[in-house]
Amino acid sequence: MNRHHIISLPAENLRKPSAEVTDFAAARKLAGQMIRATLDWEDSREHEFGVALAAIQINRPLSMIVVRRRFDDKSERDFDVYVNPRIARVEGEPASELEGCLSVRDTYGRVARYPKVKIKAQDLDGKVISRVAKGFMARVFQHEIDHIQGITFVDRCGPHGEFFTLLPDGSMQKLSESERAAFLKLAGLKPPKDKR
Amino acid sequence: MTGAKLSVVFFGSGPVAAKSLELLAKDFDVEAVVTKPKPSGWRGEWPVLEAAQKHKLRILTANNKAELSEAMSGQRFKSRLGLVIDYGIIIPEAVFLGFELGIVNSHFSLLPQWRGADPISFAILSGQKETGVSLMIIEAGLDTGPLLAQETVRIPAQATTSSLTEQLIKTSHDLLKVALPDYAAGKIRPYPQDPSMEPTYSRKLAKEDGKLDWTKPADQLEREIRAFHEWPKSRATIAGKEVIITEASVTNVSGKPGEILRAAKKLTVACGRNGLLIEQLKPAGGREMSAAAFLAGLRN
Repeated sequence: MNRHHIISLPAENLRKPSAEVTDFAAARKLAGQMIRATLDWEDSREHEFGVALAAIQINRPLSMIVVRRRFDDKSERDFDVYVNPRIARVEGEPASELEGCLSVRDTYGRVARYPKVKIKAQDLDGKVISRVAKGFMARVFQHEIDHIQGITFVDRCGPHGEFFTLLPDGSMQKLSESERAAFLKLAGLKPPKDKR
Repeated sequence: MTGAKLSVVFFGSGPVAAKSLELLAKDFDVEAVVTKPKPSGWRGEWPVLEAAQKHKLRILTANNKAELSEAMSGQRFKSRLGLVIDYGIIIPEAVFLGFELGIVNSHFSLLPQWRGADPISFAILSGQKETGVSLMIIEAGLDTGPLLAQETVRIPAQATTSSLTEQLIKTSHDLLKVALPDYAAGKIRPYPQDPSMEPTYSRKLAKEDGKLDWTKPADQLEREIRAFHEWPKSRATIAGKEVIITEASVTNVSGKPGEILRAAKKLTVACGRNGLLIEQLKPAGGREMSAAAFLAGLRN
């Protein structure tokens, strides 16, 4: 499994919800594939980290995510795996920051996310786990769990969102009106309807 | 690293308030408890008052909005925020504006869903899979205020209003323990209820809600039986006897709504769609019993 297995918008499957994981042996295998694809992608990028991936991003519609343990050191390549994750608790006024996605080529957008969340999930042995995350990590969980519901960050930005492209020198440049329109036309938009 | 317990003024009156206060007293510095006074001559329990006395907390009483204004005017509290759970009195603006950080209400639903008096029963009645707790800063509107935090809880298939309430009291406390200190420390700020969600409203249940209407679909009635389990209870007349149905399941049968389909020891009643297999029921003046026991009683 490598970076070429990662699907991108406008792939339809990115907008479909994933199914609950019940086969943990298969999940253990899939986790390895997800991590390999993410690291392979990162190795091909100069300025970006492979922070996290949802199974649907390698076209496997299963409720599973892998999350980098540390974001500040590229030499630290360990991931934690969360099976059937869900957001159990949200706290605080959502704040907007730029987000990118391995399935949205070269484009970042401002997305409002809760600053603190608690997630409940299972580990690869099926044991129930929970975790509180703040700041960037909270953002990562919300982004990845969105994938499980068939939502991409572009859908959260909406038709009036600000989008940016990463330049070769590592800086961000805001898309012009026409570039934005072209991007949204290509990516498609699905207004997210949070399940209650 | 530990810090001082956060100081709050607690407003509450019912049984949910009392259970919440028991938990709060451990983790917060409850500066005062504002509750309804025990009516003179009342000989039963008055839970919030008793909990406050047990924990030696300062008590203020008020029966209505006007008395509350009166009781609170001129009070100076060190608490920067208040907390209201299950109070039953609309808190006037002057009172909630008197707290630097406002008064937080722990409301047992995922606002803006199920605003109003009975969010728990309505969550069960709707058949939804999840509900939760919302911490909301009160403002003039009914349950319209901005939120501090929300936590979701799965509704078990066999949940009754009281079993779900017990779960939500615990969830509420877990959420308060984390979110109130974060709010007081300026780590989180309130945010508006999701404007893209259509608000829904619950209301106080009435005795008439308990009257079983067999023309409704069986799955709706199954949920009523659980939602009304403690009160107002699902009541019907079966074979001429007034009964309260306490447990039933949906079964695939058809017949005229209200038609009783008997087979050996099973008691099934046809509904507007499908039927209800009655598992447990309580005849008027009698004890809760299985359908088989009830049927045996009829034969005698």
